[in-house]
Amino acid sequence: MKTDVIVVGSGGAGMAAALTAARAGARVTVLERAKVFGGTTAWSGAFIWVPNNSLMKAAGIKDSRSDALKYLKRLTFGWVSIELIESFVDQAPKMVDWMMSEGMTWGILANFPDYHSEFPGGKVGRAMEPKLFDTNRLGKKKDLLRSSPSDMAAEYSEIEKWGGTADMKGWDFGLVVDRMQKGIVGFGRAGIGKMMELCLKAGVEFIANTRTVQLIREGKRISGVYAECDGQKKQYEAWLGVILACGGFEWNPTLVHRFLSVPMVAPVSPPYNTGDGLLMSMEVGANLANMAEQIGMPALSIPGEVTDGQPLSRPINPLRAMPGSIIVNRAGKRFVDEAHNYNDMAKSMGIFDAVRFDHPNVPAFVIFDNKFRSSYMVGTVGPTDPTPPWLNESASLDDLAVKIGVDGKGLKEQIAQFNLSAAKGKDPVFHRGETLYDRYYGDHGNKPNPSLRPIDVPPYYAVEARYGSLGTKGGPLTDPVGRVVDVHDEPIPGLYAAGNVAASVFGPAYPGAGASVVTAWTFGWLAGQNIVSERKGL
Amino acid sequence: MPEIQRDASIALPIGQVWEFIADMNEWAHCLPGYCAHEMKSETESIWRLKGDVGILSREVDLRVIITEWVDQDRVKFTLKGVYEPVEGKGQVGIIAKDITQTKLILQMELKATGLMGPIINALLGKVITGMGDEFIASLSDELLKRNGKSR
Repeated sequence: MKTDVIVVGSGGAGMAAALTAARAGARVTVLERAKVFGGTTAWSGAFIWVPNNSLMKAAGIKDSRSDALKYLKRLTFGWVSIELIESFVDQAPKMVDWMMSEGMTWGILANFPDYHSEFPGGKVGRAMEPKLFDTNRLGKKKDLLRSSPSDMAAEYSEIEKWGGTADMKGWDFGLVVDRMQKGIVGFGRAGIGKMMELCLKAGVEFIANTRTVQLIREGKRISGVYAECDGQKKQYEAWLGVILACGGFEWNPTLVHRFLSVPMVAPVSPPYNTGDGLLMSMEVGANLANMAEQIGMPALSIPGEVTDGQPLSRPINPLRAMPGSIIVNRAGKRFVDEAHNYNDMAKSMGIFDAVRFDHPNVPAFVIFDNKFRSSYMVGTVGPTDPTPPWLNESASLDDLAVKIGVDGKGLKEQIAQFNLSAAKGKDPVFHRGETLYDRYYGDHGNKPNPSLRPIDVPPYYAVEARYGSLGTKGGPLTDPVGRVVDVHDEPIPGLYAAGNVAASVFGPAYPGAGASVVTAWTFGWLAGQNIVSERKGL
Repeated sequence: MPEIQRDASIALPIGQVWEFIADMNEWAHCLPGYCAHEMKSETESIWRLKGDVGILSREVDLRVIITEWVDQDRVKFTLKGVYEPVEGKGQVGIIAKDITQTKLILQMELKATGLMGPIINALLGKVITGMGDEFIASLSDELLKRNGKSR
């Protein structure tokens, strides 16, 4: 099969790259390993974090290039090239404007703080969400749009108005169900669904159930791929080149051990991100970066819940910010501000104790009381639903400690110490609830601190907080336009990478809501343009 | 509330069909997603089923209580999630069409309660329709197979 551009993967990066290349005049074929399209982006909120974007300006929210750079330089410690950071800061707003001119629609999340808004250059209001999408616009391909375990036919801004996750009694479920029955979707499915509609209009060819296994080289240039479908290996030629957009390696335990070296056991993504792109790019001599980094997420696994044949893990988010809960380790002790952003909070779960020579903070447990249980959803269990065994309901903290295997004395001491300060809305040890981010995700009806109150109403409960990942963010290093570079930092002709398959421009950090989807779209957009323009005139 | 009604004609006399239906151990495995069941008493049993709702597959424990039993006619029952907020009722009935043919009727309704009930109910309709179709077909096939016949 011959085409101009092959895009490997159909998540956010793949769709952005495919759309852009097609609109630049190329014939584009997207090869997707799974039987449905949408990748990890379909499971996400599909928010995008875009400093200094035009929607912020229109809403009167002040931002600047210099503030964005100041913020990102602080977060990346100088470990990411300034050219790459500048490329993101300059191009992401342009990507948004271009996508909107093509038909994408976003709404601004004016109240959403950056994940470290307290740092110089940090702000509120940089995140945007996709508008609802009618899947009937995909025609016969409607059922090929990947579903999500947390499908919700609503926009985040609506949910905020209805009461947020702290108070779901005000949610308009009638409206949500009506939309579901009409095929209208929100969040990740909305963002990726709209992208797919635009790609189809632009003539992009989509091929599912086809796993790309090897890059083809002609001299130094990447000229195509080998891909397998139902056991048959086929050659796909692409004279302009290949854009890798096939996600990270969080579902590959061997690569997780080799590169992440932390006890991450619960990927919160579709089970197809096994490092295909990483391995293929290594085979052709790509330079690698950010290999120890991932978008960590404390996760909950409900026994017996399976998706795509694999155990399903769900983010413990924003549950861990709600007042009346803490997270403890085996010693019964807290180890972090539980409400802190997931990327950084999860790093605490991977801490290594050099003397004991183990990871003391896994397993970890979310501990909460009956008032919490009666107020908030815990996974899929509502406040008035029967209590399943995995909530470990116990009449006392002693009983609870025995059930979950943590030190009972340590747990009781911890709760007593925590309660003393929490009663005044304070956390002198980990400062929970002091940042904008913590307070944003808490229960605004709880005073004086939306994230803190004593845990003192029996019975008590515990769920395991597993070390999870929304995706790895290390991989082939790219230049500011998405070209994969070799070990001498020279571009490998014909090879691009975008999204979680590539080394993230944000290094160890996660600056705000939508940080991973925006890198996918921005560098997918850049790759799509440049793979076409690079060979023009030849 | 999501509900189904299905029927099938079985080329067997009513007595043979009833003998099969009256013993749940005979047909338990015909239930789509069947994992296990446990008799608690003559009228109460717990069933573990693996159900697909959208892209999720999940094990669900249901408590079934027989509320009416009329020989060679019908069995009525209620069901309720042990840990899941679902409840419903149904009946399996048989009618002799003639001395060699029996009509088997399955009727069931199931609804989710709780905070997420409205959304789950929107998905449940398709689920129980599919289950009902598969169950009645599987029952028919098993009945006929045991009596040396096929559909």
